[in-house]
Amino acid sequence: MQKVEPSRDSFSSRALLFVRTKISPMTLFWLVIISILVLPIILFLAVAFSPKLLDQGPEWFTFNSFKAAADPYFLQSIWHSFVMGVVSSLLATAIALGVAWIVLRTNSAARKVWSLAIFALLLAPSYLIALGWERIFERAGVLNIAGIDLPFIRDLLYGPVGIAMILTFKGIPFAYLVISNAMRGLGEEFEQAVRVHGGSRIAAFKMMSTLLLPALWSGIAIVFAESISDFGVASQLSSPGRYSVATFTLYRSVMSLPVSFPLCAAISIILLMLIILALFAQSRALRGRSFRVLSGRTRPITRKKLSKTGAFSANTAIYGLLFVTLGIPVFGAISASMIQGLGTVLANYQFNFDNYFRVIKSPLLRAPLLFSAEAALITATVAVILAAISSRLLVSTKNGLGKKFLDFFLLAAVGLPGIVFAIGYIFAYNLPLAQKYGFHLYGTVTLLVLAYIATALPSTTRSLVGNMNQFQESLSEACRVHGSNGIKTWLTVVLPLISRPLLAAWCLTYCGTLLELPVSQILFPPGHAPLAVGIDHALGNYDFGGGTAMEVFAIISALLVVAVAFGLYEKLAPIGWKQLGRARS
Amino acid sequence: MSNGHLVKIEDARKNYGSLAALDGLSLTIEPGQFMVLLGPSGSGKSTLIRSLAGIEKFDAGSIFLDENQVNRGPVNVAPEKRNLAMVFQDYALWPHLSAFENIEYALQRRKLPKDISKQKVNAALNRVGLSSKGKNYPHELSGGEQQRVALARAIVADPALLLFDEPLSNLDADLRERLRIEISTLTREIGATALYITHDQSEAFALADRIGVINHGKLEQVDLPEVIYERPINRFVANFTGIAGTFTGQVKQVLKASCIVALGEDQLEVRHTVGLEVGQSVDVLIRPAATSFQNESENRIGAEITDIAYRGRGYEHAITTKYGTLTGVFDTRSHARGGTISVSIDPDRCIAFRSETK
Amino acid sequence: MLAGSLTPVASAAEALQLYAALDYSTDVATAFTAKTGIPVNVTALSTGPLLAKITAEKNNPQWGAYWADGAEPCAAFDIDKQLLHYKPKGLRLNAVGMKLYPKNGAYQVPGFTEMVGVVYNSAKVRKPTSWDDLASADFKNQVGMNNPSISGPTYPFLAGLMEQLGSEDAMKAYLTKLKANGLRVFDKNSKTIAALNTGVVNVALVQSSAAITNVAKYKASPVAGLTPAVTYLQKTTVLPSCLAIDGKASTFQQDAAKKFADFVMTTDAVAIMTKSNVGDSLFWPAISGGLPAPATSRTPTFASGLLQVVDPYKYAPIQGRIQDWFTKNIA
Repeated sequence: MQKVEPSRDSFSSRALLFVRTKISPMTLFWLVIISILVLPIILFLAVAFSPKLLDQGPEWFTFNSFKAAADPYFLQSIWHSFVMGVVSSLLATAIALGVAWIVLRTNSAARKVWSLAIFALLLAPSYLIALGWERIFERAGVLNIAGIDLPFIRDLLYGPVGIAMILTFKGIPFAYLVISNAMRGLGEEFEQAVRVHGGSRIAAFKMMSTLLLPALWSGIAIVFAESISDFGVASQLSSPGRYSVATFTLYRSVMSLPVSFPLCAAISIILLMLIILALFAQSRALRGRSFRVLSGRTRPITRKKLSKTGAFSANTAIYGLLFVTLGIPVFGAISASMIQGLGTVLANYQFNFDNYFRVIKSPLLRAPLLFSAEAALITATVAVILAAISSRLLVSTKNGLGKKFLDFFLLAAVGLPGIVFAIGYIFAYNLPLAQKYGFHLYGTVTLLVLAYIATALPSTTRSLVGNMNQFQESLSEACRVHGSNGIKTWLTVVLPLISRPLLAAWCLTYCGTLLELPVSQILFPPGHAPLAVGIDHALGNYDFGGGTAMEVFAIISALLVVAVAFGLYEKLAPIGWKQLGRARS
Repeated sequence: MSNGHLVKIEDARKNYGSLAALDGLSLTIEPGQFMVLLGPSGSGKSTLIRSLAGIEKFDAGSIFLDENQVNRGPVNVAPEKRNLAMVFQDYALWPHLSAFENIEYALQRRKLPKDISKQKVNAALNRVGLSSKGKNYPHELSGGEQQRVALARAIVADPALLLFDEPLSNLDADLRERLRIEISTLTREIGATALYITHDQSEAFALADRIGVINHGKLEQVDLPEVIYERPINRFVANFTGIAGTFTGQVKQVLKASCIVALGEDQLEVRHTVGLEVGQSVDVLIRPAATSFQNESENRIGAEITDIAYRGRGYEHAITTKYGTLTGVFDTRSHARGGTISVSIDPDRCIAFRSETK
Repeated sequence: MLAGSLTPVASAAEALQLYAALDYSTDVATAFTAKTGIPVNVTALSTGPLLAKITAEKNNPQWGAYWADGAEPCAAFDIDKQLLHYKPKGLRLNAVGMKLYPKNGAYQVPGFTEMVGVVYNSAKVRKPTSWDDLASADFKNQVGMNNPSISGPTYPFLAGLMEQLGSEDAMKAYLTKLKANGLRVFDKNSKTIAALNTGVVNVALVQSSAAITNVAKYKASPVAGLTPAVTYLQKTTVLPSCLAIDGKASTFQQDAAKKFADFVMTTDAVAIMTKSNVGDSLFWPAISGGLPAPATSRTPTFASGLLQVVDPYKYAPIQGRIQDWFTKNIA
């Protein structure tokens, strides 16, 4: 018979061993988080108060950088950023909720198309989405050629309405991933309980939405942070004079003379305060309630069989949404990449694949694509592991300091535009003292990948939070009391139970990293240009056709990787993993 | 010779904010003993069992498993190293593993050869009557079946300590009894020490070798079930272990092992707690087993039948007397609602406690 | 593949780190390495990210040489005492080059372009004749220009206007007039050119190299309704491309950078730079005897009175203020 291992006299040595082993896994995790996430952010933000710290100004302590923020023009642009953030996050989450319900809870025929299209939507760079819309509404655009001139719509597009619309479209996939993961784990007994107590379908839907509140709020927070840190969409469709957002000033402060990181840091701090508002709202909304509903007792969902009109409405909604969010950028990409010269779209056009043939041989594409693909693979794998641990921390009931700390920095990383994050990396990893002792990561591929991981970590984490919230503690407690240590519990129970969301998170991170631009620009080592830098280069050289063809290639390659990943999962994963949250059709 | 741990808990303390969940609780469970902790929700029994399992920690106090202290200050021996197993209230079956795999998982720590492991798992499945359900996943099993898998999982590795966290509360009544018997017999078969927590006193009495009644983080009384039932140490224990009703009266006469209590026009002889004096106001707590409609005793009171419930073996009646209501009065014959009757009280099965002046 | 590239191509101790915003820089670097055996790591980005990197590295600079269009950044670095002053031996500059080359040798000027080349769609509008002409009714809602806050080469255009019109206020008044006449502002050369090509505007004020590239492109493959042509108005500001050496770099970096400067300021290097005959290659050499690319049909001199040079040291310090004003009032 097995006794408990320690005998009394060897307790102290065992306790020591225990303390040592207790330190390693989580301490390692925190060490990684601090190095890749906290340090760059803190150093960068510190420059707002102490420019001299990193040779960015004469003062050791000052508030001067914030004086620039008192400018009414700038305050207005902050307000614009806030409005864009709120509108896009609420809309994107609401749409995502509806779509998730149709796709997961009904037998709508459109659902299979959506599941694949979601990744294409994630991949579509904001430049392409905006370009597609421009193609249609611009002067000498498609509608013009067809004899339709809609200056009113054009004006709307090239302003806050257009920006908010495209930010919403870009936000829908993020919100959808979070909400759908949570919805999969939600048994139908709660909605059934509403119906048998006299509630209508709408009431049942409301009940389901309430139980999904943590996921909904996660979606809102992510989309809000992504939107206020956006630069690409706003700069494509508007200009500082027409509808200015905070990121305009931020980019200007670092990309043109006089370069002022203190000012940039001050603006970033202000953006972060907006995000703290979002976090605060989130915690108030979720305070004190229990949303733990995923357990062994959860039974798979039976899909609702829609009536004829119901099916028609649902399918129309999905296809319509896909057409608007995806079809238009695709049209933009095709038209831009297949037409010789970006002239008038239909008159005197030549549709051909010349750009594609040219580009496939171009060194600007092949090497960068391979490089970025490898980097994205590593990033996705590491980020997903870190994200799983982070998301578990974020949902733990113990309201420790670590949890609040992590929550803040993860959201800060989203809310800070990529470029400032990258600059923070230079500050952190180009320290003269460190270099003296041979520790110099700046200029290496390693640092670039670390930065990618840090940039990916926040959204990846939040995409898993919904599932972790539903994970019943007793499942992992049962592992511990039946002989598994912490790591084994993770590997055998926690990770398998969220295997599908993990896979989705992996794909999301892969796609995001493949086409990442701002961090790539600042941190890539010479001779290893990432894909987005290569594409940006082509576009900057007035080669719109070639640049867009490269984008299309990149997106197709990413979709292939996603398809392979899911295919492998379906083929190789144990049945028990796949049947979780699966609906009975 | 039993295979179970000797469990010693000394002066356990745990606070949640300003609330004391455990307040200096000490408990010893002999090897192989089946100890049931009985108490209302919030009494601290959950905290105690989870700390014993190692998934929570005391603020102060020690736990010894055999001669080994498993906690000291911030350092805790991990649950997986304590050679125990636990059955949870919500079954906690891993949804991605079949019944067979759930049980097999718990056996992995023994590092047995594959064929022996398979044998043991099948034996466990068989033992709980689920040999045909090994391939099923938890969501394909009923509640009772799931709990049986959980039980098989807990015993398969022959742990030295078995913990039960209110495992029957989510089951329907008939299943509860059947599963209770399984738990009782299986645990004793493998000879493990067992700690079982519940708020259901009938469950406690049916299972336990010894019962500990817990309230507000303190142990009120630890003893044999019969002693707890017949000689509760205080009114909380008495109240919590099944009372038909309470009458208030005055001590008229104090005898050697009982006293006479005046209740208005009637009087009752009752066993009393020590230290009662003539003239004191007392509450008489009456066990259901004390009541009877057979009119042999002189110790009786008139009553009116207010409700009757058929129990298969007979009928339980709720009656109203001048001094209060009594429930659970059993007879093989039924007595109609509204009828009057005389109920006799067995002095041995009621206890007088000094009245609480609030 | 990734594993093999976990270290940089060549570590800083062994190669010249060149931060360059000009397309031909890689070819020039390759030729330089072939000639001298010194390896060069080229970080090729547009001016904005390069400036950001250089400034961020201030407490521990990693760059050896910086090469991009526009003298204002170099002037700013020099005012900040970040540059190594150097004059290659045997330097021979042509007339424009001599005017552009800084007396103190703070930076090298191998070539120049002009801000702005006025590209107009001759199929839709007539040729503009002067700056004031652009503010006339004929060009109402027709004109587009770059945003100096985002486009590196564009601030010198504003500096040139200030120089020509005599004051900051005069420049502001002119641009305000243009704005009232429907001026559109785009991020940079490529976007302004795209606006011209898609008919959003019919006159684009862009860098001369971008202008000539566009004209050549549509000459080669004509499109109905779009016939770009380029003209230069009185006065056009010369925009030097500048190569600066980091004064805080290691001895190796500085030595290598000096050798690189020596190489760049030769006609051989000019030949490499002009080879691709498109985009950045369409500049005019500042070096005596250097030949411009075939696509450029004229060689500008001061004789015509068309060109002017602005002092970057005068205009660099006020760049922030001017850009801010532009953003709030014109963009």
